[in-house]
Amino acid sequence: MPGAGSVSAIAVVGSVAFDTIETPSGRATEILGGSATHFAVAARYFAPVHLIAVVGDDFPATEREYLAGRGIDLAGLEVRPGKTFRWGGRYHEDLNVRDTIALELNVFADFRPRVTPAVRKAPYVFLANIDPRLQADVLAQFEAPALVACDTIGHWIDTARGPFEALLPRIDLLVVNDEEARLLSGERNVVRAARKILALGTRAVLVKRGEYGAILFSPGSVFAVPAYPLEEVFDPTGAGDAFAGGLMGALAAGGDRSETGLRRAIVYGTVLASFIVEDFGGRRLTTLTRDDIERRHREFVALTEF
Amino acid sequence: MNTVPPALSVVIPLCNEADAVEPLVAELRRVLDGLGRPAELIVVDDGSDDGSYERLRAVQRGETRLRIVRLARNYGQTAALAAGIEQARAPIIITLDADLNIDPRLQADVLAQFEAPALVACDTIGHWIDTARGPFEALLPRIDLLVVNDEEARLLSGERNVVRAARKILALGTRAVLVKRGEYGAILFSPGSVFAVPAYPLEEVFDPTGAGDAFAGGLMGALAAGGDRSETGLRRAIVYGTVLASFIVEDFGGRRLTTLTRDDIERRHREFVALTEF
Repeated sequence: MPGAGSVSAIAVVGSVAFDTIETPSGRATEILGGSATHFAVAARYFAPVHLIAVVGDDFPATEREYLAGRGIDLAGLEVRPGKTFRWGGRYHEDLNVRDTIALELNVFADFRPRVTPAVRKAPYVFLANIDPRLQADVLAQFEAPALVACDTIGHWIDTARGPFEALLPRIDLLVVNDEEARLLSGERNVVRAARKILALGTRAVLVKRGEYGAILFSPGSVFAVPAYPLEEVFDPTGAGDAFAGGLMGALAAGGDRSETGLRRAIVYGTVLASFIVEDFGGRRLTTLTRDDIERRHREFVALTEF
Repeated sequence: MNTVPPALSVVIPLCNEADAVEPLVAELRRVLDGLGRPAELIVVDDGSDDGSYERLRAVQRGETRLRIVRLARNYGQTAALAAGIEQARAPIIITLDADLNIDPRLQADVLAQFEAPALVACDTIGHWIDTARGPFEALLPRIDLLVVNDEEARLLSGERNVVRAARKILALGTRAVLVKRGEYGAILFSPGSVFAVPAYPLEEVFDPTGAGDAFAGGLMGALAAGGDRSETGLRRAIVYGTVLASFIVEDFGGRRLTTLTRDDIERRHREFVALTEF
């Protein structure tokens, strides 16, 4: 169980948003979302988290109190005149397919992340899905982080490939899904895709495969792990962010950045992702306890050992 | 032509499956060799125009038990089967389709001929779930381990989610169900237990034909060799199934297995353990 060694802090840069989500199971309107939000809440079960994001002056005190109440450092949560980022998505019967039906960037359009002096020494940095130029910019503000992980989406690979590829040699762990891995590499086969992505300079790449689990490639090593089998996936929104949050949290808490430490942290990522999909957006995490996490982690160990 | 009258006739209709001819005959040769009884193999060429007949003639030179019935045009599977059965000389006739899946009625029939087997596993294809659901469901309570792929699990259960699909399939009476998920691995459900395992990651899948069969073969072989039919034994056997499947897809049909050694299998098994442990 992570937490035994000295616990390091994590800084996350990304979005805080209000999401309107439709799934075959129902609809939720303007609930707290965003990649940095889900990541921060998931990671905070294990380690201190500094949130670097922007919201509008419409961001309610109750949401701020929720995040602060979780022990997330909000000193880097900038409030600007205007509205908070809004996203709307509709999932198909096949939950792997979704359409974006609303996208209002609002204050997020002019987001220029600023890392406060107190956070510059954060040893663990997660660059959630934002413009790769901003990811590079914010990364340059940190002082020699021990581990930098990074997410992206197809949109940036399509429209900002140059800046994204320029960022990769500065990344220790790239976290993408199958589709993004394919888009980035031009390879359908995950092994060949990963090899090409490693050649771009990231030290390791983790490919998330939804209900099928995840697979980690680093030069000379591969780790494949299934997902926790769920009878119902209510809403996949935030699954990737919670995965990354659980992973980085467990890494920071354990302090072991070896292949073994990374594998164990990935399993915690898997566990966090399995919880967040049980309800709309990040709702499931509002009641989730560290005990719940450890219980499912034990179940996961039991259902994968041979 | 064999002088000894066959005890068993295997009848297979085939239409435009030229590439399947060699692996099919090779596979059946192994099965027939293992029977210890004289058998004949009747392949009915149902009006192929892709060279299937010529390929059959070519393999016939090395397999005297093979008889070819050539129909002048395509008459359809039922008529082709009837034509083959008419030519059969043995008292026991088994019909197969060209990808070696057998009718659940025949599965039930052949199962009844065994004396109290310790473990019975069973595969099927969507075709039988569609066309012989009643007989297939009647078979399931006699099965210890049903081995199907995701698509078949969905078709059988009507559920898209694999956990719900497996629960419904278990309710039909099989003692366990293993769902094969191709490059994503496999997941075993029995009442009270789940085992999920990834696949061996391959840079190139040359030909997936036979992957499911080699998986089942590796699994059953390891089970029979280990003699441990507990959940633990089953899990370990599934890993060997995964390893065998990872080899067979490296070349056409069963070709890779012609040179594969037990050492190769153990080497990849060790690699597999290393790439899944945490």
